[in-house]
Amino acid sequence: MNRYAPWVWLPVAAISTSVYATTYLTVEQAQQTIFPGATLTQAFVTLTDDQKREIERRSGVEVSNKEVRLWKVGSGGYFIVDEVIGKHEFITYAIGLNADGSVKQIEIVVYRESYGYEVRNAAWRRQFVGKTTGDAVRLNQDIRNISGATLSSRHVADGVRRVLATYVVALK
Amino acid sequence: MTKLYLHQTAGTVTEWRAGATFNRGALVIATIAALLGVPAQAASTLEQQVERLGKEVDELKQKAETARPDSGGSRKTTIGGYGELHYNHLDSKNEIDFHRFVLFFGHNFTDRIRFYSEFELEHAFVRDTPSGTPRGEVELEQAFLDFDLTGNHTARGGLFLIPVGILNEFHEPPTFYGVERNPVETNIVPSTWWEGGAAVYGDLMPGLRYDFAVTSGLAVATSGANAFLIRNGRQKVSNAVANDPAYTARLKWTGMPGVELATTLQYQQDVTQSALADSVSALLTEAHAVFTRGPFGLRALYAQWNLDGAAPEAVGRDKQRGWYVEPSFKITPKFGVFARYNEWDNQAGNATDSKKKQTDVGFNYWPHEQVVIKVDMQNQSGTVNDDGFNVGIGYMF
Repeated sequence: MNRYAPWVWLPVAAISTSVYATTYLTVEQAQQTIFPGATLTQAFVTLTDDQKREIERRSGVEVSNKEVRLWKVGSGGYFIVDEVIGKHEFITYAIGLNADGSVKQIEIVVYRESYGYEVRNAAWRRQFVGKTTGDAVRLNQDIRNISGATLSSRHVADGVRRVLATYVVALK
Repeated sequence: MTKLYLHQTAGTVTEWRAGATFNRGALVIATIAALLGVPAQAASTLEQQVERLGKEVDELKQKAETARPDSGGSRKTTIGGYGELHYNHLDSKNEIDFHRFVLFFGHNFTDRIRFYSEFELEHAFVRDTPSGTPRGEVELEQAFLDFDLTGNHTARGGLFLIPVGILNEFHEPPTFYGVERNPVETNIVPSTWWEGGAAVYGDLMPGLRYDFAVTSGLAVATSGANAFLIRNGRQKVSNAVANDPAYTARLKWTGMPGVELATTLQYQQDVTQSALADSVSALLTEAHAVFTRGPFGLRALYAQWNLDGAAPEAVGRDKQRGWYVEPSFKITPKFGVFARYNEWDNQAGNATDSKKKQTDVGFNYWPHEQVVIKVDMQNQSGTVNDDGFNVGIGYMF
């Protein structure tokens, strides 16, 4: 008495035909999204132990990678590629800072998990625009949560707070 | 989800290769110079040049390595888990129970093919007894593969949680208030509820997610005290009868930060799995809202089952429904209080007064964002009366 309709297997068919159709956001694309038309120069920075400690003190977030993947923007401003842990996996995101160190925009570059991917939503990311080290940049304070993506939301907020502290300590 | 990828490596590697070629070129020039008897001074300049270029190659190589997206270490295999110890001091019982001990295992085969699983031990102890009455349960609650189709659409196959309600997919103790899960998402939406099958999910537009799943269905009892009770109809994908599949569709909107609105429909042509001469079709309708703004939180959920058939109608189980509303307030980021009012009725289809009510009041204290201590009081009324308090400690990682 098999009542499964033939279209039960549609998703399976979809897997087999289109598994290679994923689109990619490259660093160049992230750069052009945040700083359209600007010229960016790679200027990676390695933090000293003192700087690392000071960033951790200011942000309350551990610095797990002392290398700052930084690009300087010709017209002023900074472009940084950073990573935070989502739930179990790393989220790679790009953050653009204006010349005064305030957040211009953030873009999620790689999301590797099956849960919590809603942090990619533009409306959620827009909450970071204009944030500076003077702001809390904490979940459930000035950054609203996404239910079902609590850890990803919290950790992206923590990452942005750490990057803002990095700007003050090491880039300014 | 989306496998967006950094391609910076490519650019840098090209640069590095160019350097290497130039380096080799310099060596050739030096050799030719030597053979032609070019003055030693010029040869030494070339030597220096070669050395300098060699250094540059090393530097570029280093940069190429650091520019890789995985420099933080994209993890191939991940583990995680959660657990909760409960103390229930109620009219019905006074007991302490390590209710759930859960391990997550995940593996990334490629950027677009992922495995995720949840393995659970309930009630801390399981023994296979001749009487068949072990206390605990060992459960496989999730074991699925996700295949990213495009940036915004993913196909899923395996054993997975039904996309319904607030708690079914996300029930790690630090993420909700109350020691025990709410009775509506226990007796109406039968959390934790998993089935085996295939699904597709993704974004229709930014902030609007869809899920569509075809899975194994329920197999409710057709007689006795549990006749047509949804919760008891879960087959847990354990040699589950597969005569009648279930179709589940969800729309979830998270377009505004701090807001989630979602609705799920599930249809199954026969929830008895053809046990009766006449089929009993079932339709589940569920809707919920979650709001958070600063310290304020609000969760509200409504769910209803309509079972179409003479047999469930005869016992009033053709309609089963419930709802709850749960306001909360975080006094500090680590300490929050909540109240919840629940109503549910698994026999709403007849005139018998079978409604159950429960009010919960309590607090959560998070010494760390992933660790929680919970206390709440519960007060029941209607056709249930199990009052008392609960204390719990839980974690997730």
